[in-house]
Amino acid sequence: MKPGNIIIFLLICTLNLYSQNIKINGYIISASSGEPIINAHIISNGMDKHSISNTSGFFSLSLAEGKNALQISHVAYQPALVTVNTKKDTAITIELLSLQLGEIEVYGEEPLHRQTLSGKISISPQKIEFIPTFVGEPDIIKAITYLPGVSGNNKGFSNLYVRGGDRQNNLLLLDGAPVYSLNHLFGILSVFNADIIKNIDFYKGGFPARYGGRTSSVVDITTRRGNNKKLTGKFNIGILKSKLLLEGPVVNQRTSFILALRSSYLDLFTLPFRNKYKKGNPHVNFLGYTFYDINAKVTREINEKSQIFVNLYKGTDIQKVYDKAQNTFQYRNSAYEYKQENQSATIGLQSLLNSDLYFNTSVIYSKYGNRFEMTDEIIDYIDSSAVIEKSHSYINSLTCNISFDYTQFNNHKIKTGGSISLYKIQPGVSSRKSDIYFNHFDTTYNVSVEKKATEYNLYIEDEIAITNKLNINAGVRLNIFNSNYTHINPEPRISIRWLAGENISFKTGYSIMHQYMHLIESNIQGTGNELWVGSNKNTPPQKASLFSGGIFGKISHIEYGFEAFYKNMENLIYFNYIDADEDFICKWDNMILKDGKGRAYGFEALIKYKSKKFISSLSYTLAKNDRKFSDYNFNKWFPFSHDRRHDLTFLLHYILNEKNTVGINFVFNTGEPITLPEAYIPTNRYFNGYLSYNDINNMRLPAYHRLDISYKRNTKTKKGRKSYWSINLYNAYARRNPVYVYYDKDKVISKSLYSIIPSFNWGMEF
Amino acid sequence: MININKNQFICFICCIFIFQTLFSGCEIEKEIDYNALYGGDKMVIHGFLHNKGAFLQLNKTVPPLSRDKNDYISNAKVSLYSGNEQAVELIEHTPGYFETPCDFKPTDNTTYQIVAEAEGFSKVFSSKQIIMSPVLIDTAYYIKETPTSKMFDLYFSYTDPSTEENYYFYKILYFTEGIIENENDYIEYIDPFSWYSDDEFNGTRRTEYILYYEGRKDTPDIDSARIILYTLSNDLKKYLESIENYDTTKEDPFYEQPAQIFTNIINGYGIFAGLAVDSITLSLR
Repeated sequence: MKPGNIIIFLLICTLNLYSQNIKINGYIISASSGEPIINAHIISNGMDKHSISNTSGFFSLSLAEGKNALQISHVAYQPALVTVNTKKDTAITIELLSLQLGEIEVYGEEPLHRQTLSGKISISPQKIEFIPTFVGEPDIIKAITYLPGVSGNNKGFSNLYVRGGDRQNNLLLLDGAPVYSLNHLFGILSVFNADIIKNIDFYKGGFPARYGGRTSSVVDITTRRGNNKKLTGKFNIGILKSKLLLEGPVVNQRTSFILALRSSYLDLFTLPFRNKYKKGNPHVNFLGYTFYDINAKVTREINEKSQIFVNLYKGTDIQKVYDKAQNTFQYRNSAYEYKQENQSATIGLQSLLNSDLYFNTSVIYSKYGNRFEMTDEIIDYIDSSAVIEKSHSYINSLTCNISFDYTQFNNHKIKTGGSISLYKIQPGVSSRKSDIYFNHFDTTYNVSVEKKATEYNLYIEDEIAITNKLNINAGVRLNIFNSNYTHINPEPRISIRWLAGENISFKTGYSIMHQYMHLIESNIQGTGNELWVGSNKNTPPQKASLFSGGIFGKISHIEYGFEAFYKNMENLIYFNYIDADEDFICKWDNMILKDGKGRAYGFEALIKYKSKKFISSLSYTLAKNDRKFSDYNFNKWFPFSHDRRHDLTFLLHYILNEKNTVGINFVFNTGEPITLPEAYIPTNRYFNGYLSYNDINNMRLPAYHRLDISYKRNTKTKKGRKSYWSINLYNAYARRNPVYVYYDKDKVISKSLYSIIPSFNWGMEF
Repeated sequence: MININKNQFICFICCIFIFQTLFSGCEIEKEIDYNALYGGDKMVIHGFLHNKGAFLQLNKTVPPLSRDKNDYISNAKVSLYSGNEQAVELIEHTPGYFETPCDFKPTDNTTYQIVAEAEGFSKVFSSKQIIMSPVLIDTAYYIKETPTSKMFDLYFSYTDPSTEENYYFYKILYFTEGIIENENDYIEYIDPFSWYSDDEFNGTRRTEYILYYEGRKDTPDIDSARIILYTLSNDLKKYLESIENYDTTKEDPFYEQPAQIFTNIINGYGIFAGLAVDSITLSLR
C-alpha cells in the first residue's frame, strides 16, 4: 500500500471514532494582566484528554457528560485545578496566577515525548531572561543556538544555522510578519526585544504544513497584547542600550496596548566629534553607530469570541564614518553612511466562529531595506575630485493570510488555510557621480531593476490521535510562486509519535521545504551587505528534504531526547564576491552559483533537569555538513563554513532564594573551517608564483569554548516597586577564541577579538 | 548572602567598567602552521599547444612556507600524446623548459595531451587540447599627430568567428632598429588581467586601438611594431580568469575564501592549453 493510501485509510478509521461528547472550550488568561496564555496545558482527569492553548489562549476539549476535573499548567504560572459539571457544550475562561519570585513550575511544559512534532521546541521568554549574554540583553536568537542541532556564530553574533542550513534558511515570524534581517549592531544583539515576546515556537524539523518559504527552521514569535487591567511599565539601563516598556488598557478593559522602545546610545560618545564636524572643524574623524527598535500593539476584544489587533514594528541600524583632514596642500572630506531597516505592520482578526471552528486572518506588510551612501571630496592646489556613490536595496511584501482550526472530530485537530503574498524586490538601485579633475570627467550612472513576484500557498494539516499511543501530524502544502516564471511545488509533511510507555516515545518525521527568496550576502567579512532576490526561471527555489527520528522520554525530573537526522539540500546558491562587477544588481542571476547541493546529517542529544530551585540542560550535536557546487572547489564536496563536528552547550539556572538568581552557560564546539594553501606553485616564465588552495575549508581553527555567568538580584524600591540589577560575565575565564585568520607575508595569523566582557544592567518595574 | 553597602556597590560597578575597558579590547594573535597540509612534491606544468608545436615549463611544488626551495626536476621525460600514442618527446632546451623538436608539426583537428614522468613523482597528464585556428589580423595602421611626434595611435582589426565563444589577448612589441624597445612585455609573460571575451562583438569585425606615447626626450624613435593576437582556448581562459581572481584577492584579508586556481593537469598543477597566434609587423617610418 502506498504511503498516501495508508494516511487516507487511517484518516477514515479515526473519523469513525467520532462520538457525541460534550465540548469544553474557552480561553486561558493571566489573572494579573488579562494576557492570553499560550501553550498552557489542559488535561482532563485520568490524563486521557489533553489540549494546548493556541496563540490566543484558546483551547478545546471533548469530554464525557458529567463532572470533569481539568488540570491547567504553564511554565510561568501557578497550576490550577478546575471542575466543570457539563451537560452541554460550554465555554469557559480560566485565569492563572503568575509564579512568585524564586519559583519554577516543574510541570508547566508539554514534555518532549508527548509532542507529536519531533522538531518543535516552545520557549518562554522567562527562560531566556536567565541565560547569560554578550551585553546582558536577553537574546532569543542566541538562546535558540543553545539547542541541539542549532549552531550560532563564534564571533558572538546573532545568527542561526539549523541542521546544516544557512542563516537565510530560517523563517522568522513576528506575529506572522516575516523579518528578513535579525541583527542589530553587526549581530551583537538580535532585533527581537524580549520584553514584548509572549511565546516562541521553534521548529527545526517535522514542520507542520502551515509553515513554508524557508528550508531549515521556523521561529514563530507571538508578542504580548498588553495588560488590560492596569497601566504598568518597566525600564532597563545597560551598557550598550536602554529600553522602556509601557502597557495598559485603553478606555476600558476590552482594549489594551503595549509599547516597547529600545535604543543604543553609542552615538553619545562621539557627540563632541560630531559637533566639531558640523561646525566645520578641519581635522575630525569619528565613527558613529546607533540602533533602535519600536514594537507597538493594540488589541481590541470585539466580543467574547473575537478580537482584532494591530501590530507595528520598526528596527533601524545606522552606521556612520566621517573623516575630515586638511593640510597646506590638500583638503579631504569623506563621509560614509550605512542604514538598515526592518519594518512590519499587521492587522489581524481572531474569532471563534462556533465551538469547533476557530478562525484567524491577517493582512501583513513587511519591508527590509538597506541604504549606503559615500562621498569623497579632495581638493589640492592643482586638482580637485568629488565622488558620490549611493545604493539601496529592499524587499517589500504584502500578505493576506487566512486559517481555520477545526476540532469537530474527537481525534482530529485540523488546520487549514492559505495565503497570497505580493512582493516587490529591488536587489539594488545604484548611482555614482564623479567629477574628477578640472576636465570634469563625469562617470554618472544609475541602475535600477525592481522585480515583482506573487506567491500563493494552500495547506491542510491534521493531528490525528489514531490510538492513545499513536499520533500522526500529516499535511500537505502547495506553493505557487510566480515572477517571470511559475514554480509550483507541493510539500508533503508528516510526523509520527508512538508512545511506547507512560514516559517514553519514539518519533519520526519527514518534510520537504522550498525557499523562493534568496539572500545574497557579500562574502567580504564585516561589510554585511545583504540583498534579497526572488526565484525566477534561471534561479530555481532552494529545496530541502529532511528526515528525522528519535527517542524521547522522562525519568523523574530528567527529560531527555535523542534524535538523528538527514537533510538533503538542492539548488543552493553561493555568491562569490570576486565574480561581481557593477552590473551585479542587474545580472545577479548570471553571477551567482545556484546549482549547489548540500547534505547534513547528525545526532542530537538533549538532557534537561528541572526542580523547584534549578533548571539545567545539556545539549550535544554530532554532525557533518557539506556543500558542492559545479563551478566551485573543482566540483568537489567541501565542509560548509558553519560545519561543527561537535557542539555542546550546558545551561544552568539556579534560584538561590527569592532575591538572587545565578545563570551559567558553557559552550564548546569544534573550530570553524578555514581554507589554507597546501602548496606553493613557483614562478615560471609565463606566470607569477601563487599559492594553491585545492580544497575549500581544509583546516579548522582551534576548538571554541566559553563560560558565561550572570547574577541577578531582585530588589524593591522604597515605594515598593520591583527593581533588579544584574551582572554578566561573558567569556568568564577569558578564553582567547580565534575568530578569523589573516595573511601577513608568508604567515597565517589567527586572531581573537575579545577576552572577558563584563556588563551591568539595572531595571525597574512600575 | 554577601551584604554590600551603597558605596561598595558603586565601587564594584566602576571596577566592572575599568575591567571591561582593560580586557575587552585585547586582541591576541597566533601563527598557524599549515605546512602540514603539504602532501609532498608534485609536478607543475605551464605550457601551450599551437599549430607549430608545444612548449612548456616544468617545475615542482614547494611547501607554502618554503618558497625559495629549489623547484627544478631533473631527468624528467615529457611527451606529447595523440590518443594513446606518443606523438613526440619534448626536448629540454634550458633547465625545466621543454619544446617539441623543430621538425615536428602537429596535425590539424587532432587532440593532444602532455604526459610527464620523473623519478619520485606521480605521472601527470593534461586534459586533451586541440590545435586551434588563429583569428587573423586583417588590417593594421597607425596615425601620428605630426611626423616628428612620439605619440601615435595604433589600430588593428580582425573578424571574430560567430560560431563559438572566443577569448583573446594581444601584445604589441615595439622595435628600434630591430631591438625590442618594451622589453618587459616580452612574449613569455602573460598578463592575466589583459584577456577579454567576444561577448560584446561576437561574430563581427573588431578594431582595437592602442595609444603609444613615449615622454622621454632621449628615447630613440620607434621604427616598427609587432602586433600579436592570441586566441585562447577555453581552458586557458579559465586559468587566466582564476589567476586574475587570485591576484585581486591575495592581498585582501577580508575575502572569506581565497581564489582557487584552475588546473587541467591530473596528478599535478598548472595548465597545458591550446593557443593560436597571429601577428603582423607594422613599419612606423
